[in-house]
Amino acid sequence: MDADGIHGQLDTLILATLLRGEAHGYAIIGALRERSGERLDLPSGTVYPALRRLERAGHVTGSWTQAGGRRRRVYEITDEGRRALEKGRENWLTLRQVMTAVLDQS
Amino acid sequence: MSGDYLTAVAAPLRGPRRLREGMLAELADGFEEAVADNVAHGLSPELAAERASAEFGSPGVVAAAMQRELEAAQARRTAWTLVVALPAMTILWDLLGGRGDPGLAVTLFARLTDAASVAAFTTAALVLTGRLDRRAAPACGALGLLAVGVALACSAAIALIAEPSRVPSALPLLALASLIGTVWVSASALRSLRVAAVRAEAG
Repeated sequence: MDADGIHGQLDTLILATLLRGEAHGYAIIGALRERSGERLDLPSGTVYPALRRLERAGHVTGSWTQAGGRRRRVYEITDEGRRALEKGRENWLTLRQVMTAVLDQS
Repeated sequence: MSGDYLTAVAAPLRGPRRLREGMLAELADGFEEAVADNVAHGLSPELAAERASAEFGSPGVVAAAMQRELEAAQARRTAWTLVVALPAMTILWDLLGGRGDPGLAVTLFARLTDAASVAAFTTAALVLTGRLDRRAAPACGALGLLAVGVALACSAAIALIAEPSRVPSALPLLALASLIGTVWVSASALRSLRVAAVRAEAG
């Protein structure tokens, strides 16, 4: 699935990967790739500004850490982020039901 | 090769330095890791960097997404400047600007200044409370400049028509505070307009 196919869903997908615990940008990219079975063809560089957007919205918190000589920004989902994820999940399920209903009749 | 990609992403970016450098540092770290992963899978360093560039997306797409965040951050900065500086200047003039009826013309110019300040303050408050997101930077920039422009023009008009006996004794202090406020607001408003213009140019 290409970037256009998941337009508007990237934030929800990122939040879903963070449910397993805090992670830095590249680990999130890896988790998205792995959990999609390598089918998600996303320009992974856009994950970094998306994380800042989620941080601005209060859905994640980010903090710089130093590990193994590398300075990295690690993100953690907030309670507000969990609520946004739940809403994103509901929206997606509704969209899927609508698409299925229409396509099944064609 | 890695440097080429990161330079291409960084080149068009404008906005708050700390956020810009932070996002670029994160991108550079991830890109290095992607190259290292590709080398570990048997690619030459050149091919590994090429593959990483393809995975990360075109520099223009990544830069545009980053620029949206920089614009939002700059809009919030200008909004904070407006919600602090404009009421401070208004209160200062109300407290030290002299008492008594200054006459209809002076009152009208003073109210016009207040109206421009209220418009800019309201826009800034909408941005800070998340009610205005799209076009926040150009809105804050334009209304911030409008507020100081109207204040300067009205001050000049008042200075021309006010009776010398009504000139407040604290005028030097008021003039200095207004000058500082005007420079502060103008500089931030212009930065917002410049940052917003980058995205407009990029389409």
